[in-house]
Amino acid sequence: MTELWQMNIGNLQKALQKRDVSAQEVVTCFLKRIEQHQEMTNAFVSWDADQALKVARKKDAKPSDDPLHGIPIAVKDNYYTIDYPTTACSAVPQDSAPFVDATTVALLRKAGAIIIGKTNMHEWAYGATNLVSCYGRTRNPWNAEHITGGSSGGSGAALAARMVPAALGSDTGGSVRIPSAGCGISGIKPTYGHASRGGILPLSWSFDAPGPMAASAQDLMHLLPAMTGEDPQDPSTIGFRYSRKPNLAPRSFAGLRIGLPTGPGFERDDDVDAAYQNAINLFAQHGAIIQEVFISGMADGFNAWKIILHAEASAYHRDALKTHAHDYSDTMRIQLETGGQLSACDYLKAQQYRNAFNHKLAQTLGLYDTLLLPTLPVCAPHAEQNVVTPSGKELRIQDAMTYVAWIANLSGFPAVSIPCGFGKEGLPVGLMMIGAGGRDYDLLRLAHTYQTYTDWHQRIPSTVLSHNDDR
Amino acid sequence: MIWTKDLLIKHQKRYQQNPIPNHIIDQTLDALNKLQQGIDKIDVAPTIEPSMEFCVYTETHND
Repeated sequence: MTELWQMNIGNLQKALQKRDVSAQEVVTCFLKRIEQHQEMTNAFVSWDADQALKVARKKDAKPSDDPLHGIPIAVKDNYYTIDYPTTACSAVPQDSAPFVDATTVALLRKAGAIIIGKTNMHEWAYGATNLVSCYGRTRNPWNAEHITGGSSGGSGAALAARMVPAALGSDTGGSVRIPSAGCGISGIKPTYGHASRGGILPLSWSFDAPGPMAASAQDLMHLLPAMTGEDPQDPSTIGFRYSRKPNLAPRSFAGLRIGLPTGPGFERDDDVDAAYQNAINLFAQHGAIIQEVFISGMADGFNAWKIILHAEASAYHRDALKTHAHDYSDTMRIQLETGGQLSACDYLKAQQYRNAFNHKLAQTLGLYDTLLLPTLPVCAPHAEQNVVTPSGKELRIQDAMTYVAWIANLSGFPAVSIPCGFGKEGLPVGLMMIGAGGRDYDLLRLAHTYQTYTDWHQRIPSTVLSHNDDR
Repeated sequence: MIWTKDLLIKHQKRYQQNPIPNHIIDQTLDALNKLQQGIDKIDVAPTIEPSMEFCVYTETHND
């Protein structure tokens, strides 16, 4: 019999609405999973069993057909929440952090979700490994000696270990997609402005995007519509063309136009390449039209992204650095000091390049339904590794994690990461699809269709397989 | 532009009350010079305006 923690959101939803199972049973099951696997993963930084069960009891007392009625969701620790402290996993005191819900959290609660706890993250989301957190590093359920990827690594680990059926991340240079790839789960960075940044501690205002994470693209389809909408707190959401009832049925790949990015800046190792080629073959076998597309300016684009990121992050932390410099980690302090020395002209030059790069990319995406590429050039590295060398190119781990993911943040375009295989060491490989602005649901539909042909998203690490029936 | 230790300390003092700790100053200098090289390498025409919209929309073939 399928246990509750193995069910997808759609089936959980049906079971809850038909009252085959209660919200209390669902929450109890996942609380048990959190207790079982927290020590190994360090995925959560706070959770409150009493509070979650109290909310579940209320849900059971008042049945509803709200889309996420009784579904537990974990929230990255840079989202404000009414019932949990928000720390961004930093030692810098957050005395002024209000106990209110971020807009996306409030929308999910309104849709019936139960916030079950807050997840570990890279300090202030300013890094892509999840090795730096005042709560300690997050461990990958596929191999605890390896990183999860970050900065939403707690959400990634929690999902891979099935400690929760859904989670929120935030993505400034890949922070939803990187841990999704590293942990073998699915995640989407929506179009900039699709989901509100209201109530989320910023890293870089012009890149930040909240995004849902879950086991499958089909699960993401349940989450994204429930967490989006215009929000006066985030002007970028005003006027966005929202699809309230998007068509999410699997689609034919026949005639689908797929661009495979090539050129310097798209190197990958053999493990990743093998899984990627298998994914390309699957699309081709089902009728997709596949073409290589040369993307120029990757090195300048990567630099422009870093300049904008460091300048905006340093501006945000400028005052706190005066009074709490000693509370930042060394790695973050280095980044903040670096960004603090950039001039306005440096920042504007990067924004000039962004404009040119994005218009070229938009033209390319006018010709293709999606760009298909590996999310990461390597599988999640060992926690003590400093560099990787995909195709002989030496990259620091931080640069390797964000190596291509930044494209979707510089452009604001939506991007999905889903699992597409495993490397020789048994670590997952992520497949990324980038679409034109506003095409979030088209991407999810493609990703869901791919997952109807494959079972990578259903694989669960042997370390977290449990035969306890929680019902 | 190449940043030296003296220049970095002088610039940093302009807005920061806490000097960069000795144990990270070399790494900061290294990171800053790498970033500065990256800026200098960026090839963009001066006529291009800085981006003020953070997502470019395009009409695709299946619109």
